[in-house]
Amino acid sequence: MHQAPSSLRAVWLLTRLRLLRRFNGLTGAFSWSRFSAKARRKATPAKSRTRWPISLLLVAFIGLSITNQARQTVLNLHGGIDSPQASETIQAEPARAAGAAAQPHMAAGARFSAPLARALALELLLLLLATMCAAFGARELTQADWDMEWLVTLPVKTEALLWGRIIERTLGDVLGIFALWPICSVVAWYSGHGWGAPLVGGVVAFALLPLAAVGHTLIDTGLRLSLSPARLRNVQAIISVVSVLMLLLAFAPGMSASDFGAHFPAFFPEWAMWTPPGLAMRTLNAHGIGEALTPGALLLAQVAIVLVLGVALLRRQLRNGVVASGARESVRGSPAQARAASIERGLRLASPIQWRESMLLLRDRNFLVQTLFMPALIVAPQIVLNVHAGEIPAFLNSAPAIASIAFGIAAYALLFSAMQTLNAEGGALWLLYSFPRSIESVLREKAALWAGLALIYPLVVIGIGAWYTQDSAMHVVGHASMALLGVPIFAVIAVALGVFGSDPLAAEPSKRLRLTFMYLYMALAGIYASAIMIATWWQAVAFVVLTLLLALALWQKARDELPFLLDPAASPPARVSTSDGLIAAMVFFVLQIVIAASVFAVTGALSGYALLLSFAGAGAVTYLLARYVYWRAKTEAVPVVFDGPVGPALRLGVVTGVTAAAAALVYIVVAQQFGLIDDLSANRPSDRLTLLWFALLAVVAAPVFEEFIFRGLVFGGLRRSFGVVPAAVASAAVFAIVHPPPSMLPVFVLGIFAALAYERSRALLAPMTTHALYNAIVVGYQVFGLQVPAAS
Amino acid sequence: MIRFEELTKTYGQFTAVNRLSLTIPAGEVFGFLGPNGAGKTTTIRMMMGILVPSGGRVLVDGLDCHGERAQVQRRVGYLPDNPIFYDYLRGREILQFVAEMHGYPRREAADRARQTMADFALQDAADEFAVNYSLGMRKKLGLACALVHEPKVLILDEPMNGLDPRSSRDLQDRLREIAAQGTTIFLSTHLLDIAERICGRIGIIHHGELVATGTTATIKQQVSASADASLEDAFLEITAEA
Repeated sequence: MHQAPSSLRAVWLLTRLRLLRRFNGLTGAFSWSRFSAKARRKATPAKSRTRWPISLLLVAFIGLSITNQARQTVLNLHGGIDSPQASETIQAEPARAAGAAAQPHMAAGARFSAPLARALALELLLLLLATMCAAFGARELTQADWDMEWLVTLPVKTEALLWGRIIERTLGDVLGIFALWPICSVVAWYSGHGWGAPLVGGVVAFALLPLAAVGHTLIDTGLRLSLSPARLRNVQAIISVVSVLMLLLAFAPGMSASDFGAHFPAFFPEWAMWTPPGLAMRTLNAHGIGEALTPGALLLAQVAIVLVLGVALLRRQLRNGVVASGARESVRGSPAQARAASIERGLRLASPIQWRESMLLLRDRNFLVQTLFMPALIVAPQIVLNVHAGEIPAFLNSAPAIASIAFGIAAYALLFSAMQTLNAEGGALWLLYSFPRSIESVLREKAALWAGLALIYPLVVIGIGAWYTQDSAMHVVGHASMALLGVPIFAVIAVALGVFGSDPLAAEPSKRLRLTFMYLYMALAGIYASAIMIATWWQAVAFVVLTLLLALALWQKARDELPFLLDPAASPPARVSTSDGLIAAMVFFVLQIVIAASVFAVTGALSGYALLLSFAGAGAVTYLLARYVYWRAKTEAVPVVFDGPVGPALRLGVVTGVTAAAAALVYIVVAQQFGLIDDLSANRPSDRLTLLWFALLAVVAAPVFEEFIFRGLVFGGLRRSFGVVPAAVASAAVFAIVHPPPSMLPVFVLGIFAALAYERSRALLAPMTTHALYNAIVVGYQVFGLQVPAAS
Repeated sequence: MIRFEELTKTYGQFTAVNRLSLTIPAGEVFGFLGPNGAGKTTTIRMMMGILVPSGGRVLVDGLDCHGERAQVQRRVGYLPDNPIFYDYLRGREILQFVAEMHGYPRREAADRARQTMADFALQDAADEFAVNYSLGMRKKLGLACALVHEPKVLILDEPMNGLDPRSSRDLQDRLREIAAQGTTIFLSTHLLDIAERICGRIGIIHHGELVATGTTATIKQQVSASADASLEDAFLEITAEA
């Protein structure tokens, strides 16, 4: 028998194991064995979906935003505490509060005033507490701690295990690092450490993190061992609420221009500057090593004492064994169950799937809090803070703002409910596969349920806002309906993105939903919320339509993915889908604007010729990109130009083209009579070469590329799931939206005819002819045609 | 009833199931034997539409298990090797949910659930959260879920794994009853004595290929002419690493 490892070595081994595990998780499927042809299969290789460059980008992005937030916090605290006159100015002139004139400024290298130091120390304390509590949000608290149970079977002293656990929680606490490092670095910067600020900040932050780890472990272990599972769930819910409140409090000074932070020093007495957060502040703000030595050494000493005491306490907690009850409580016979049973009977009205989701919501207190209470919890303080700054009249008066916030809350609620809906199945996903129903129909019912629940908040908020606002009723109704329509649309988007982002085969629940898709969802929701705020009514209509289309496109792609969810190796075959078309349309739209803007910048004029060039150019680039992507992915059913005899296709194109052009001409004549459209004949190019170029662009280039995108991709993708009429109307709508407003209506008509031509001939030649003829006739008329006197 | 036509599943370079072809008539109890990692669970998952075949197909009652999954599930009851159930739901609620998802109206589903739980002697634990069940009880609940809609085909993945002797015997008796009523049973296992006892025919899969099919007697004869050869010997001989 050889020697058991010394405690120190055991701690090192445990920590190394944990860090290795985390490292493996981050780098994911980046395995070297794939390069060795003779690699024997040991276990089923995972689909290579972990894209670590994106994770890296995400980390960088989050780090930067938090650092910026921290900087803002420090500046605002300085402004609020050290120059109260400045804050009064802010109160008196709310309009200027956001301006740079009232922005507090702080020179780096300054010594902080005592109140400011206290306020920042309180800030550190809040972040520390928030970190400690946030770790309880995960569901695993109520499950047996198999980890500890297994580790105690090793020939290692319990103390070593506990030290290892605390060290691992210090080093591996991502949230803690994100919470403390930026602000310590910012404080170090303003204390004059210059480029060494991150290093100094990092040292201090890592000196503070063990405190959070000890606290977390103590509470964690204590709770597991002493509470019944029912109480545990409730406590967990309370703790997660507390952590969010702490985080909000901590970030509050940085978020609003109010003098909220001025109250901070009052809550942090002078003697508290000798506690770890205070000492950390003093170390950071010290000038030179000599001054930093005393508080720094004291800080380390205090942290060491806390660690030793903590481990001793833990040892005492575990003296009776490591295993807790572990099981969920027995649900029979308690009086609370009788009351719950009547609610449950009422819920039977919903479909079985919706009933099941509601049961989960009611019984899993933590889930309930996260989904239904958190949104209110996050938004209410924001409103309260803004009230404090005197902005209440402006905010409650504005229908767009109310509607936007209402939508924001609902979108946030959906993030935790609808997006997780596939994940929530967990290991029981196999049960869904055994039912004689398509998984898609199940997801549809879930989306409906969550959309319904998520609507509660906006309805309440809009109701309150409508009561107070002085905007006209039409105004309120208009914006409110955009917000309310957005909720079911985003429920669909959330579920679809949840399907893409979920990895049901992942063992660790926390790894199951990929952050990229959560971020994408938040970005989309943010865009929609801002659109509610700023769009004119016709823009709003267009936006809602586009978002609806996007939702349907994503749903279609998710549906393709569903049969392959549990298969680690197979993926759906690449097919042309509506989302491809929408992406292509968006790329086209953006490129067209860019090219037009460049031409404008170069020539100083935006002639019809320039517009045409921008269309053709954008079309060409998009077309080539799409072709390339499809070629790489070996996509099936890519739209073809020729299919069958050329003659009938050409005839079809001619007929539809002439009809559409005729309709357009009528429109133009009428519109020119009313002065709605400028007479473009003044822009007629003078020389033959330009003329030829012009004609080529209008009749050949633009139709070829645009037809591929709008008829081939958008219409074709829609046609996979919808009938001719809806698909034609939708694709024509998208087509019209990317054109300048005066020409939207005739272009919409062209879109419909071209779609019908594509439908009849199943190839792109016909719609291309339609489009080419239309362009030739309409543009030719506008540039060369009869001068129709415009109405004066 | 169940027909495999050159069913194949590959993961990159590795072939998990290689051109499996087999026909199982209605009413038969078929045992699918093989060492660990041979491809039994992969085959069953392809039958359930959880995995997508790389080649070939498997048909249940003439329907493609991948293309027409929802239709196939009407006729099939499935028990995975480690049934995991939803958290925060009681046993009888889960069973009622399953019955409703198979199309039974609420009242009838509730009655069926109650009846099936009684059949499986689970009524005492019916009000307990399913996550608190022991492995044996979870398997019983899983089997109840598989049988609540009276399927024509029963697909079981290692049903006896982890059961104590009494539960194992109960399960065997129940399977014999169900088979006597005409249900086709396809079960995978590596417990040879049980296979011998309840299966009409067995198939042995090794490295993804079907290396032997037939009644236990036939298979034993393949290896040795003596009458008291055990299935274990035959199995080990057939699946020996070359």
